[in-house]
Amino acid sequence: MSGDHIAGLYKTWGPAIYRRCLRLLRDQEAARDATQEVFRKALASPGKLADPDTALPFIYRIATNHCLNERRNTGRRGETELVDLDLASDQPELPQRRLVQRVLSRFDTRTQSIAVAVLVDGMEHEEVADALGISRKTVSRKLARFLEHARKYLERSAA
Amino acid sequence: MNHPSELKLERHLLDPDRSPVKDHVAGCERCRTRLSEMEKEGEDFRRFIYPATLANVVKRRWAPLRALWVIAPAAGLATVLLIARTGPTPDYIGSKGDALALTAYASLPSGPKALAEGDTVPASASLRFRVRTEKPCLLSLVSVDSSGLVSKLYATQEVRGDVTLPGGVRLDGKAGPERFFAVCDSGGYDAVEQAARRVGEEVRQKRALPGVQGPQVSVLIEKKP
Repeated sequence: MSGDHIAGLYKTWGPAIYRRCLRLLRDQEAARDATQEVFRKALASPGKLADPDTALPFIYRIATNHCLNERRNTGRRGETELVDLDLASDQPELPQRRLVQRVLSRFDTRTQSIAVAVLVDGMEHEEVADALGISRKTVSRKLARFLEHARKYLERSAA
Repeated sequence: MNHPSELKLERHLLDPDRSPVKDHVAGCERCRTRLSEMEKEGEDFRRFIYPATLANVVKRRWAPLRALWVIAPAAGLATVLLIARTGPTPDYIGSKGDALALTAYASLPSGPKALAEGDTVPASASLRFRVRTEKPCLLSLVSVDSSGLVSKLYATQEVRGDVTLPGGVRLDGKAGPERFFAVCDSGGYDAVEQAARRVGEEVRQKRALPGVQGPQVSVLIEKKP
């Protein structure tokens, strides 16, 4: 792939990647670094970037996984105070209106992605399933499990 | 009121005329505000980030570090290949020739060093990895530290032959053991991560992930402050 072609793809999809990273990392410098990494990963499948119908869900999936991993690693290294993620809508089981990183970090990456997609991004289950390439049933099952465990964990923490 | 998701708003930005949420957006102040923010963030990318990072993105990945593999043998460093354990667990069913080898390299002030089981490295060192497979492999690479914390390094990345994995990792700065597990498992990353969680705090003793169906290999390092 030529440098001009890569530059063109970066110009087209870079803004969406940057926005996604900024939304999840809440830090401009971290988002800038993550944008480069995510785009490099996406370049491994140039065919998906060439098709606008597949590019956005593809980018969304890679960026979400990368940035959630960054959040976890950042917390692990204790480098910076992580900003918790605001919920998109009211969740009776998470009344504090924020998705707390210490809760999120207790789950595997796929469950984290589902929780963030539904609770933070406000995506419907079917949209999450399409974006992450999994079944709707898996989305529902993992989200229910996440909410149940998160609620119990928060109750224990409060006690 | 249900608002369009971030992904739908991204699609709207790409082609507002054909957007299925354009009617909602037209009547929703909250969504218009969010779209304005997204446009501004996109503009920030185009004005500042794109010109500053384009060269990094376009140039061949890890070109300087590829040179490292040339320099290492010249410096007389031994390359220690950790031979795959093709039958690591009682329930593992392997086939002849499913070999997997992993080499971890630490970037040290004295130069790159190939690590053997139990080698000591600075707690904030950078590591890179090289794998060799005899058959195409969906590789996952995870680490588990002394607290049982699992970190994903590479997830279901297709590799074949002798491959230097892109990128690398910087250790977390905390003293203690950390074991790196490379696994060829068609069951996907989640199964590998679940298996890694079962290692818990016994990273020094457990050299293989329990219940994993494919070839795997691991290397332990000891992080020193």
